[in-house]
Amino acid sequence: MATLSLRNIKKVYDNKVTAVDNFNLEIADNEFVVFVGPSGCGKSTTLRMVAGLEDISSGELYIDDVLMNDVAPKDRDIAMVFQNYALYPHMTVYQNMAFALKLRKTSKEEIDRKVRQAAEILDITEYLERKPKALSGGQRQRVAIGRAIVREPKVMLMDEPLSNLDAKLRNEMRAEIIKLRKRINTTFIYVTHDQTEAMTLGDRIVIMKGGFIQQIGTPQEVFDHPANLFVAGFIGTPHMNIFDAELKKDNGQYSVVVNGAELKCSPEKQAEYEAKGLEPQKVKLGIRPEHLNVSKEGPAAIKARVDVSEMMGSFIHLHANADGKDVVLVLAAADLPTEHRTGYEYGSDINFTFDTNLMHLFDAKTGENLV
Amino acid sequence: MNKMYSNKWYIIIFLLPALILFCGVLIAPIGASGYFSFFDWNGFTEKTYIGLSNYKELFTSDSIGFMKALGNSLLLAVLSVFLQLPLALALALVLGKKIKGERAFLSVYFMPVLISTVVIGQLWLKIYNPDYGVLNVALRAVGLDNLAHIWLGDKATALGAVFVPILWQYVGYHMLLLYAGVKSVPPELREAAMLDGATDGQVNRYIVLPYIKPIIKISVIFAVTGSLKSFDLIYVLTNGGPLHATEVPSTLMISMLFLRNRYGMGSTIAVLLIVLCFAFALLINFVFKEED
Repeated sequence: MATLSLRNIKKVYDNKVTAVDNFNLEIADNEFVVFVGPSGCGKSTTLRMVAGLEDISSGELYIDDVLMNDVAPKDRDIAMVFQNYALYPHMTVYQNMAFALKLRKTSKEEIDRKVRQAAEILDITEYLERKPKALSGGQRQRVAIGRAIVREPKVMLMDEPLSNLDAKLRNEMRAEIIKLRKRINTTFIYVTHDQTEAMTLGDRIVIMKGGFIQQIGTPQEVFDHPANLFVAGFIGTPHMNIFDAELKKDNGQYSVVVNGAELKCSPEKQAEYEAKGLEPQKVKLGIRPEHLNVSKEGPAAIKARVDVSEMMGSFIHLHANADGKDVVLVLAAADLPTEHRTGYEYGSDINFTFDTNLMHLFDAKTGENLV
Repeated sequence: MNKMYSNKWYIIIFLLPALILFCGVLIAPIGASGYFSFFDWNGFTEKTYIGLSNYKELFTSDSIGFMKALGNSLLLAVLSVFLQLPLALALALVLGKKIKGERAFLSVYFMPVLISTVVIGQLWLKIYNPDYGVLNVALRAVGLDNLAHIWLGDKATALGAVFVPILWQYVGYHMLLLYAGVKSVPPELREAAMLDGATDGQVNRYIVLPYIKPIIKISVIFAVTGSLKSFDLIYVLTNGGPLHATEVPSTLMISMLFLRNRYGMGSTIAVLLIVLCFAFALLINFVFKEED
């Protein structure tokens, strides 16, 4: 258990490439924070700086209010689970898990008790005498986690721990990590490029791009109120639809014009825009695929032509083209007319609309959320 | 193609050229040596079958000096394993840590391996030269005149003086082997150990050394068998002298074959060398397996 404070952290490689810049984050005791972003966004580098495996070029890292910049990894009381497990190949599972305790000169009885307890939590007791090469990917990952929790570290770091597993195992292990987190009291930092993992695991998510933090918030906050176009596009599957639109204000009433259709803003949005004093302007309008509905023709309906209709069971993913712009709609099959419950014909014309209360408006130039 | 691989006739046809070459240059000469070792023969005239007499004489006759030569070789093997290899390992561990000038150091340490042994021999002859050699000059310069003497000509110091360049020459060779091993340790293993609380020394002891154990084994085999059959530097420096002080089985073998015209006895030494090398390689393999 520990609090972490990352202040103006910067990482520059070879005095040229800036991997992380202006990284500020306070992590509470026992919190589960997920760093998420595309490859090369600096999330792993930040994690490695916390671990002490990379030097911090500038800025300060505090763990429990103690400056850690120049403290060796071994003295930080941090455990880390690596993407490719990093199990010691010449040691048995038991020896792997006992290694850190052995180095700390813990008594044999205590080591045995802790290793067996961790093994039980992770359901790997029967593999304790095996070497890592005799284990499957999922079992290895459990051992790697076991090796980390057996030490009861102040901070647990996980660097894409599930990315080497197949989809089914990944889902299972994700659930295991959620359960594990409830059983052990420690602060977690988890790195992933998978936004589903980020959304399901994190108390808070730190979304990164190009070495900079884009947004920090709870999963609900970043989903409901993305700070900018990047976050809007990154969080949520399928991605949010982004349209070129125009925000209008007639007689004090805000409305948006998208592909020729004019939609009046909901009272909640009216109040928000009023409070922000938004001027009529060109905007980027974001709306999630699941917030689009097929509608009848009308002034508030946008015309589109179906390209692909994917039957996903209870939902239909409809890929359509609205005046040259690709749009994705996620439609609940049960809400559709009987003839469309299995999908739409290729090339058929549809109209769709949305509840303006669910839309997001972004600055056309900077991409920042206008609200 | 797969069909071809599974047809044993194709396999035999493709392997045949290599097999013929292997038998012609390796197996046949060993067989011939084995055959000649049962004869008393000077290499030119009629040979006489004498059974195991050559072997008996080799182990019992003091005048031949085989046991002394074998002892020297074994001493060299021990020094190789317990002096040369630890030094090579230490260098490999230091260089494997991404230090500044890593490549330059690698090249420097490996250079003696690339240089012809005759050149190295000449170089060390100059170093040991009693009059103008660097060693004696340096000793005299610091006032240790009494220590300066004829290094290669004195029975007491010749063996040590010959072993130093042999060990020095191949430190780089073993270092390169072990360095490649150290470099093959996945960085995450070191990092995981560091986070587990290991110091640099503990990372080396608990992670790196067990990981490169197969390479250490190879190095030990090379060091021991190399010592048993060492020849060239000794031949250049002392040719086994003075008074057989630096004699090793290989120099003795050459002397038997070409100086004393005892072809049968020379062949016997050759056979024993091969058997010894095999035996030690098997023994080392066994020891490492037992440790696992």
